[in-house]
Amino acid sequence: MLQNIVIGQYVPVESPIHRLDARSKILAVLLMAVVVFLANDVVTNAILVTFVSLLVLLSKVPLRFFIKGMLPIFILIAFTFILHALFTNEGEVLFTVLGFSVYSGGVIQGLFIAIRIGALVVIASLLTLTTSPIDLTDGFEAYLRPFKRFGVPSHEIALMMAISIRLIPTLLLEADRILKAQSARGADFTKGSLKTRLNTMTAFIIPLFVRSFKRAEDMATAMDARGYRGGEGRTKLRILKWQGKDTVAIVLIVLFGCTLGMLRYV
Amino acid sequence: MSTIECKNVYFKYTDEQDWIIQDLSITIKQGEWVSILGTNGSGKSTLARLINALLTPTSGAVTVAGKSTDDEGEIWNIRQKAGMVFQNPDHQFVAATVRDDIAFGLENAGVDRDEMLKRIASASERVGVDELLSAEPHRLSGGQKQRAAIAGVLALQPDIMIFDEATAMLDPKGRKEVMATMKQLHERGITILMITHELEEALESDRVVFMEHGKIINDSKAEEFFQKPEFLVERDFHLPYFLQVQKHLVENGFQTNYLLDEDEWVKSLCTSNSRM
Repeated sequence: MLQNIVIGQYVPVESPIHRLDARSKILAVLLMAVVVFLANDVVTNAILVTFVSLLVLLSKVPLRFFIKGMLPIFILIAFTFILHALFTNEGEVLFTVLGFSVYSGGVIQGLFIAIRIGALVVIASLLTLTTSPIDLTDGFEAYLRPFKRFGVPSHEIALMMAISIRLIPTLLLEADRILKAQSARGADFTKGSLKTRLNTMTAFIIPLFVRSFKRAEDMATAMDARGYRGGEGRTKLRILKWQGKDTVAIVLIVLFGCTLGMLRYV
Repeated sequence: MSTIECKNVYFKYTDEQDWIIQDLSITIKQGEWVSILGTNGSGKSTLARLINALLTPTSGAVTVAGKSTDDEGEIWNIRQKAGMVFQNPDHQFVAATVRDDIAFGLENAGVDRDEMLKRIASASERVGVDELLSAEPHRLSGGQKQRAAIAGVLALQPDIMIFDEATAMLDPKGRKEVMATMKQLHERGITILMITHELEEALESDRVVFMEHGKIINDSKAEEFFQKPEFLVERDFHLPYFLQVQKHLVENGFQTNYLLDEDEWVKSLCTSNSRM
């Protein structure tokens, strides 16, 4: 079962977005977070939806992955929609529920907000779906590096992230093994009240922790033996390449932002 | 050329503890293949860690190529010269893929990228993981992971390689792969220091060091060491089957000395039989 595991949300297919540098994708997400809030009427919202849909198509990531990313936020989106629909008193009254009059303007406002939040979630998912965790780590490290002079340990943070990612399958395998071992000893993780279940969970969590600490110690020794001494004077095998297409991508996002801005303010 | 030299080494972690290593002296020349045998807690692993400066002696001196492991400035050079492969393949794989893992030591040493790529290519080819460079650790077998670890050490171009029970957690196939790799490294003139419980593995080496309670109680050529299997039997070691048979033959006067190569022994049996 571990043969097919995909770490993080990364969907390894070939697409123009996959081939972009992690840094340009991170920057694009940050820019889009601003741009999204420029949409405020039917035209700009329609353009926004079209643009985001195009990006999704371009990424070649199956739609269900985006829907999966949306689910946890769905309640939030629904909630904001209802709030806006109930408390915005513009346009004509559509109908009245429990003493609240629902105005057409409210429904439209709610829809706009829902679209913006939805667009943000999709854009953020695009980043994690099209960038491998390791590239993502490298990208974050690149952006954190300038803050090193203010005491931000960029190299250490990146290494910690990289090692954590590398250990996820190992931990999963171990968790599975401990679960089976404890079940064989008679532990039942599925029955009883919440309290008894929590109690049995300790029989699972404690060994997992103990072994993790042991592993961390071994790993530190192995790193020492291979001459690890922090980020100072270290070279890197993995390099990020900012190419023409990365600049093009950023320019496109900026242009898109300008268009929305012009439609809104001019 | 890196000679390992331990002179009157004593070691313990804390003052209250008994000595883990006591009054140990040994010289290992470049190109030797030394097995370090001993029961659990005999100080084998500690000795290995003293040699590559993971630990420093409480008293006495350990030098590698004339450089003392006590010398802060030399630690990194010593660790590069004396690479180490550990027991658990999963606990020494640091990076996300084989390529990145081999690169880890090189990155630490500040090797530039072009040189790094060259060394990764040659080291991975030498141990036969060149096809697996992009593979993630959870897709590899134990033997493949250990060979990747060996490649990671090899890329640093060490003179000495220390194997701390590196085959203990492998299946027979993985064990064979790793032993074959060791043999090949030995042929290339790298000093092999192999800590092991397995007598079969010790048979491959040139020299056997046996430790007990932090002391070396035997240090001899492998051929000499295996002439007195009682020594091992007394310590509850399980003799390889062909040595057990030889033991009976020797005890009953059919054979005068032990042969360490199974095929050679079988051949000699056949010829002596035809003479009878």
